[in-house]
Amino acid sequence: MKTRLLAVAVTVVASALAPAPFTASWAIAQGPQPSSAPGGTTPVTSGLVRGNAPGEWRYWGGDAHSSRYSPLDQITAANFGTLQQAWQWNAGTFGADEYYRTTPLYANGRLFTVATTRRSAMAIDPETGETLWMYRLEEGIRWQKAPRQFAGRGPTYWTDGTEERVIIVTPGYHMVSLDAKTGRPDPKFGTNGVVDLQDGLGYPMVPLAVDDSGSLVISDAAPARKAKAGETWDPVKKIGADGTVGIDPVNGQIGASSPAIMVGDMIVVGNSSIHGYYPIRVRNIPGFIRGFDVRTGRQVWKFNLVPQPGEFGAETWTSGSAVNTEGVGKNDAWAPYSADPDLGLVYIPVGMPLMDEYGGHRPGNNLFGNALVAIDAKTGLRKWHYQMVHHDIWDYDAPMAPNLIDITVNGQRRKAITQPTKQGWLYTFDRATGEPIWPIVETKVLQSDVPGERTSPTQPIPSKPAPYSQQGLLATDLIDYTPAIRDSALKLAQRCRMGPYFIPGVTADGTSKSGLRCAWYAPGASGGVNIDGGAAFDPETGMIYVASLSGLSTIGLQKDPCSEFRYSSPRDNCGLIGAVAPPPGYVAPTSRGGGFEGRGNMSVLGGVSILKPKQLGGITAYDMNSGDKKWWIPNGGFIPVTSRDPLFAGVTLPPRAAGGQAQIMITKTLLIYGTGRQGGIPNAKPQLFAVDKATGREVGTVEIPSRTTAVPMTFMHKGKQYIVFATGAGSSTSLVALTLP
Amino acid sequence: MPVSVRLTIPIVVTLVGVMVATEAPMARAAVAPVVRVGAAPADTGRTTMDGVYTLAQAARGRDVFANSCQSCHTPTQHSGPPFRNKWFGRTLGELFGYIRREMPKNEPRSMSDEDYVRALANLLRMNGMPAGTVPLAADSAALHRIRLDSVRAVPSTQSPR
Repeated sequence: MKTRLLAVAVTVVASALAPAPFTASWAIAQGPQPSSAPGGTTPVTSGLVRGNAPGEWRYWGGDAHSSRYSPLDQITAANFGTLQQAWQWNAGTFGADEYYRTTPLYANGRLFTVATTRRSAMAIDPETGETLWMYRLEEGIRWQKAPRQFAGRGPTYWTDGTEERVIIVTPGYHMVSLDAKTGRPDPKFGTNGVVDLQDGLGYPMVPLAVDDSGSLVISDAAPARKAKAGETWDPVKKIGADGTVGIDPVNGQIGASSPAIMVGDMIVVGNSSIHGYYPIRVRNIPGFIRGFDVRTGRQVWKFNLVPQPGEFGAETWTSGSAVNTEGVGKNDAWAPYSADPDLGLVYIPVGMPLMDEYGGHRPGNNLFGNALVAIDAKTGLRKWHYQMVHHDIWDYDAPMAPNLIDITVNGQRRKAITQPTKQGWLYTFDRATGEPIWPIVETKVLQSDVPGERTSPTQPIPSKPAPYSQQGLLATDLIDYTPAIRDSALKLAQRCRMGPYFIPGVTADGTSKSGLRCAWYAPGASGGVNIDGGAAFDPETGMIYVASLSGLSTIGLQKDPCSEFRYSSPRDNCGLIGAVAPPPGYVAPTSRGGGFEGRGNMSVLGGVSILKPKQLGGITAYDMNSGDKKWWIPNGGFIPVTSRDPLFAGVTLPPRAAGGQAQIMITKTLLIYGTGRQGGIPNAKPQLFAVDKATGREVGTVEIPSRTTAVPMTFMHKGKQYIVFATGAGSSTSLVALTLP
Repeated sequence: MPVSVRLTIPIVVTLVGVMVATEAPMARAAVAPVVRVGAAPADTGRTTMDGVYTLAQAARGRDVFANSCQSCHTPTQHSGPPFRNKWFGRTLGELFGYIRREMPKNEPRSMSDEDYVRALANLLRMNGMPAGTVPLAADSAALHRIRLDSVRAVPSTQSPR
């Protein structure tokens, strides 16, 4: 039987003002559900393993533990090369996107995803790639000025064995609960299926307006504003008040990019803030974690990621932590989360406080910035926390869902958790108590000499496992193939501040005490582990596989005359809507790199990196029972290095490892990875790789239409194992499904 | 190209917004002499107003921008006065070399030369440079012979009218 698609537009929040913001539209299959339609059976609720039905993929990270592990074994080393494309689902036809960073879910016979800058929700037939339903929320100004305007990481799935829900958190920060069978909003949830997540944070809701028709300019330039009394929408210029309401943008911006996570019947949802690169305003909205009842959408609890006066941790903000205090903002937990359904705990990896590279406006350790926080999902009360970076000035957000790992350490079975980080270390704890599994030592670190900056005297350094990314830059890290090469590399290295790790930035104008204009930055702001990479854990063996970058860049700070910060990344906001007026006579620098030259790739000598090749970045395997590193492979292969510089005459140069963040999942039989959007060998054909989990040996490859842009997932549907991954960017985004012939 | 039209509108309006909001010092900067650092001589007279890329190339370049640039850079930063101040008077070869050497910042040199050239074509489109019929080639020497400018070079038989 043929299904007929019908678009239905429904006003969710009525407004007297054009052009009808907050409207939802969905396309649904009409008529009786044919017996051949996917889903429709009773969803499995018993025999769940780590919250997941075996063979399904109900959580962003595969299961509640974010293992990214599937027990499926149909696809093996022997047949990997024969994988064929089952279908390619074109997300680009629904609208444009940034890069497509979604990992879809599979539950009870259907595939669920989000797509486009609108973060529309979709259900797909896993066998044919046919769209079953779609849902799109029109958010007006709330979408236009959203700080994370892209499809995001994915949806959330919930079932009680009868009802099934797909829950999305939109760019404009609404949460919608949809019937997984039809895509219709759940009328019992919030207001006609929608909860406004900007409400309930303690800020009044006001009507919004815009003065331009563009998006937010990184970081917080060209924001929306509170509407004036009687202000209306100009449909020609696309400015004015469109009837949407939200938090007054004078307080800052808030949105989301990762899915909520289910713990029982509690939806645990956080937020994403603005980018921290070039903020104008020295105060912004802090981060929050909240629990909502899945059946009603009622907010049950709220946990402040910037502890408010009187709360635990407020004293780590020595100039005050109250919202709208100078320096207060962000600490947003923008990565996906993990949960232990048995302990009833949800684990929140928290991002850094406001302004990536200068903390002079927020003295103190800034809890819960850069912490892993365990929260009781029923009550919202903190069980334990551990701060991995004190007073961050390196953009070392906790960037990825932590992996819950059951391991045997010194003969003792431990329920543990390990957090992959941008700074290149795994931080491993008992997940019930927060006690470190291996000692994490507060270690003296270099101190900043940037005016107004007070860095933490120590940082916690894990004694185990060994790091997976280059740490800082020391003379011993430099190439030394000949004495002349060693001297040249050292001379280049000494132009910037060196150190073993956590090297503080210096001012780019050379006014810091050292007189230097740059500091080495390794790992950089992109990790280590970042959004695209992260780890997969094998619950059968206790092995973990970490995908990361290992780069070397530099950092320098400047005064942006058009921002409220004393220092920032080298760029100015002058001339942008919302920027501070420049001082009289200010002439914008005519530097070439749009600001990023201060973080640039100055580590190259005659085309050769000054860094000794090491087994870092790529994919690192650790046995988490012992904490020992087992093997390492590059992300997609090695790239030959040659130089025409006479300095390297007669020297045979070792190849360099291909870069980028590998995107890993594991099955019973294989480690499977894509190279990620910027990974692999630059001109090579895009491939998916299969690797032996015990040795790191490549055992198969299959060509794919374009590089993966998100972590792949796998599931069993009608007796066949499928691998599905997102790929593409802009107008050419899609999901690709592979299966055996 | 309906997609192109839809995306172009906000960019243009944003640009207007920038120019309206721009203070006098910015305007002065716009006419300040361009400092050339390591500039190769732009000798043959072709400029970016001579239709040096194709629309198809720029469309692919927009996807490259979404994939590898957009999470740090917004179109506003790379069109209009900020772009003009930094790059007019230099050659496409310099811009190509810079992007290829330094970008994306977390993984420099990670894209294919074809993708770097597509990103370059998209930058030209974003800045209102006309498209032509011959794609821009990933040829550093050839790119060094094209100058970024808002005026055409002396018309020749090779350049489209």
